[in-house]
Amino acid sequence: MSSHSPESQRAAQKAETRRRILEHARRLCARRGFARTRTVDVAKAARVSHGSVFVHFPSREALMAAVVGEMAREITDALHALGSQDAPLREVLAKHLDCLADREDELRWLLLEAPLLPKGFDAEWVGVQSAVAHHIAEAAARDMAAGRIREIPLHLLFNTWIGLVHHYVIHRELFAPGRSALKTHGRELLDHFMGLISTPTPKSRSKR
Amino acid sequence: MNCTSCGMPLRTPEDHASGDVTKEYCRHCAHPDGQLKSYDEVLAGMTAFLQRTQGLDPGVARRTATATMAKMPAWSGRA
Repeated sequence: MSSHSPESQRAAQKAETRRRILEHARRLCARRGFARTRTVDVAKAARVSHGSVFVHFPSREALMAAVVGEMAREITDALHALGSQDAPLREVLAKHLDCLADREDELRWLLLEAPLLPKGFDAEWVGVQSAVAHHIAEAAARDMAAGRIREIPLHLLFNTWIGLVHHYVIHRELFAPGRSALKTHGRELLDHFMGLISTPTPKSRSKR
Repeated sequence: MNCTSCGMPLRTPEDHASGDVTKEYCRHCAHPDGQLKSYDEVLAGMTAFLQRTQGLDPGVARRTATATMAKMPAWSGRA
């Protein structure tokens, strides 16, 4: 099939429509949240018929799950690129913060609404967290083996980091009104967390 | 491309089973000789990973791993 055949043009057009629907669904979810984003509004924003949304996504839930899945894929890809370079934990956490800061509105709604969302979301959300946990665990294990950070159970290290970061995202109006909590405070959180888990340097040991 | 068994991105040759880029599954889902592990072995490995890295309850971890694998092409033949 040549790249200009009617079949390939139709396939390309279909893929482009799907991409546009997903892009506008993400924008609306970032602005209004997952629970209040209606397919009719997505169709209007993407300038397609309401029925066209369901040609590409069988249900509203499937569209919302695709939004989370797309976010998961972007975060996973960004962290995976670092993982294959054997990056130290600090670098992986910094990249994690960057990834979340770029999607902070979507993330905030997801965290706020997660318990109210349909079941399919659980799997997508754990998918995001699993990819992040994988890269953090691998980098943490390397840093522990090198004596750069203390021996801490991986799940507690991960959950302590996530708890700190998500707290700032959920309550960002307290920490950075009208701004990105992670762009405003990310560096401070990273320095603090690394300070908690790092092994004492010879200088700090001699002060005791 | 992503691992057809667990979904992990396959970006470098080292990500693939035995470093063989013709294999469509990752090093975590394969035995040292490059053969794909059985469904039960991958399920057990993924469940243990979720518990070890995120502290999930054992039942939640197993259900999550089962749901993840249900969407993977390598296991599409399973009911």
